[in-house]
Amino acid sequence: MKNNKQVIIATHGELADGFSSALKIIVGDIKNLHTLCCYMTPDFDLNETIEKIMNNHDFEKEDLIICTDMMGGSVNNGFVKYLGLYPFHLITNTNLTFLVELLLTPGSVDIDMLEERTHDSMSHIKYVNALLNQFDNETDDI
Amino acid sequence: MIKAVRIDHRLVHGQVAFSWTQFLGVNRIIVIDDKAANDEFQKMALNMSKPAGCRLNIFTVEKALSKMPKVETLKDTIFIVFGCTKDASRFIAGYPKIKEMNYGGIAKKEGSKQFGQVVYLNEEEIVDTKKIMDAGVKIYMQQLPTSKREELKLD
Repeated sequence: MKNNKQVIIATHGELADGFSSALKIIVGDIKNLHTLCCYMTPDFDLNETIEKIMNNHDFEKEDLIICTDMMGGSVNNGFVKYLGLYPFHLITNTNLTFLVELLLTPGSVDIDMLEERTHDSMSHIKYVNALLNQFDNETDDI
Repeated sequence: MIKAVRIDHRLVHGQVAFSWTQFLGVNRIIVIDDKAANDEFQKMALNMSKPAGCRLNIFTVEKALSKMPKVETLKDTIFIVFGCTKDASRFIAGYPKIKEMNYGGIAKKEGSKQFGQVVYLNEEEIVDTKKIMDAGVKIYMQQLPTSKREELKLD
């Protein structure tokens, strides 16, 4: 049984570092969080970078969760190709709410937990104006 | 049971709703803030930021004091959050049973002095703080569960 996880946020440009900056404010310093900012140099090679990540990770010891920015984007597509080769978990359309929840949960992950988290409506994008009535005077009385 | 008490000018936000609530195992947050309790939109925003499985109350100081006998009978693990030192000191004056309080974030403003990384107090807030301390409340500063806990010293 693995007892920890490594999380890598992989995005187009510096979004990953932006997420990391926001997470530092909300959650604090997180040792098992890493970022991959893609296409920052003209010679950036995604496949080579992914292979390096996979070869450097000890899958026997820890889970690996890759959180990419966009379904259909090249970063996510790049990782999809490796899903059959390495036992990592791939999340896309990543947002801050999801990352906060993931990083505040200690230990390893499992399929059920990730399924549940990705279906949690708290982390979906929302049109707040249309929600206002729903939250009107909603209090839990004592 | 009241698990923790905090002053945070942002009330229930990312740090409180996620990090602290999870760390403390809280299932009820009671916000005590006259301004927020009288502001419908602020109340909606707070309700939106309520973590899953957690109850939320937003009370004025007066209402909170009247509810305390009932609150004491609840089986919930409770997190009390004040928005400002003024409301906290008024509450403590009427309910002197709180042992310690975390100054988790008090904004910088004209004429305020820095006491911690995110804690700034002006003259009025220092007076409030003294009142809180005089009621036997130990005040410390800790922004996040993972950050260092420091004692607040006024001198």
